[in-house]
Amino acid sequence: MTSFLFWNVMGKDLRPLIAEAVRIHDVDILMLAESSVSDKELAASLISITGQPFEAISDARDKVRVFSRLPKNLWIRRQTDHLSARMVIWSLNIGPGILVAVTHFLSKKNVNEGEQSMLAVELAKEISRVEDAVGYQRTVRVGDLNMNPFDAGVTGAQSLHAVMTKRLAARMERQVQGSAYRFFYNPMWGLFGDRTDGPPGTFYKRSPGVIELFWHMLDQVLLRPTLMDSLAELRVLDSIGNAPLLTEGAAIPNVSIASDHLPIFFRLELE
Amino acid sequence: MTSTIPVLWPEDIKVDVQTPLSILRVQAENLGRLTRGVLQGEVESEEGDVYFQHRLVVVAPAYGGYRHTILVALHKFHMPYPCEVRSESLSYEGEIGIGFPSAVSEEQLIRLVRKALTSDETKAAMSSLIANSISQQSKQ
Repeated sequence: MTSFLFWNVMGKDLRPLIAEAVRIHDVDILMLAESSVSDKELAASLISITGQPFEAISDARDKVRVFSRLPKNLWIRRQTDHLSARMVIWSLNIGPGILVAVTHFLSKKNVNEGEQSMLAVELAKEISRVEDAVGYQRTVRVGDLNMNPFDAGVTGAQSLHAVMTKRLAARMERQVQGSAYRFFYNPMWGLFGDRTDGPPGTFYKRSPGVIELFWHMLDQVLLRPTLMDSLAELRVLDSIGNAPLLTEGAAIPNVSIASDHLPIFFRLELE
Repeated sequence: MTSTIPVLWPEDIKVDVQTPLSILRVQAENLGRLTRGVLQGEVESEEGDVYFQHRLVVVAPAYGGYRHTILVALHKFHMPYPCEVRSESLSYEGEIGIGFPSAVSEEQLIRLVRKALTSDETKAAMSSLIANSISQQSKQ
């Protein structure tokens, strides 16, 4: 079993909380967006709290900082784009071997939805190219997409083409206007709203506009169909140990003690 | 009457202007020749509702097909110019974060692309990819 934790930490120094989450959930791979702490300091904190040999995997310009207690020689960097989609793809030689694509997209404050979709097309295309190069499609895509599961950049065939059920994704790909596009399975759909355990989304926003969803699922894990049955657990965390990540009254992300995003935790059965 | 009105157009209007895509394609096509096949260049294009982006991607076939986007040219859908050129060596700290320069003509674009491709950042990336490719080949 391999466990992953992704968190957009809003530029805050949340080392004690992060390290505690890693310890409690026995995390193998930690991914942080908007981290303001140096990799060295963060790795030291992880080692100190967990007693595990965590190391930074990212290079200096990567938007998402990746730390792992798995040996560094299992990670092979396969793709880099710091200039537009702000993404990195690694192959990770555990179990049958998987690809890990990590990204932190620009938000709608900085680009419009059309530009986000364009970057999603790039992301999808680069993932497919790398899958073709390594010869398998066991890909997990993780990160802050700054889009919801229903946005065009996530659902579009040329984009990430991520669908809400395993049954749909099991078709592997879909022909659209003569071209085949690979599916992703998006399990985040199942965590939306208040009819399931856990918080209604990963990010809360209240704006004065006519249309406002309030809860958004900006942080997402997507799985290729060949990997979707490996998903043993997926949760949006609303507490870390005794520390609640939501406010007491409104039950929205408590930015005074943590981040405006909630962490996502998942485990894959890869052996 | 019209003879008194001067011609206000600039004298240097070109009638054979190349698009950013054509300029990047030439760079991509020549990378394989210059590196004796160790590296290859590709141009990947993506379109949004307003913008088109063309990415110059360096591929290292012997190094597991590693892909590195080295330069991005961004322009409006029906207007190849102005064209923003994104490359590590061209970035600057703007008022609202990292910014990149734009070219309004083929000449300016060629100047920016040349500056990016001959920069220390690009040279370092290319040297790394060539070294890794050769190291990988010698292991096999």
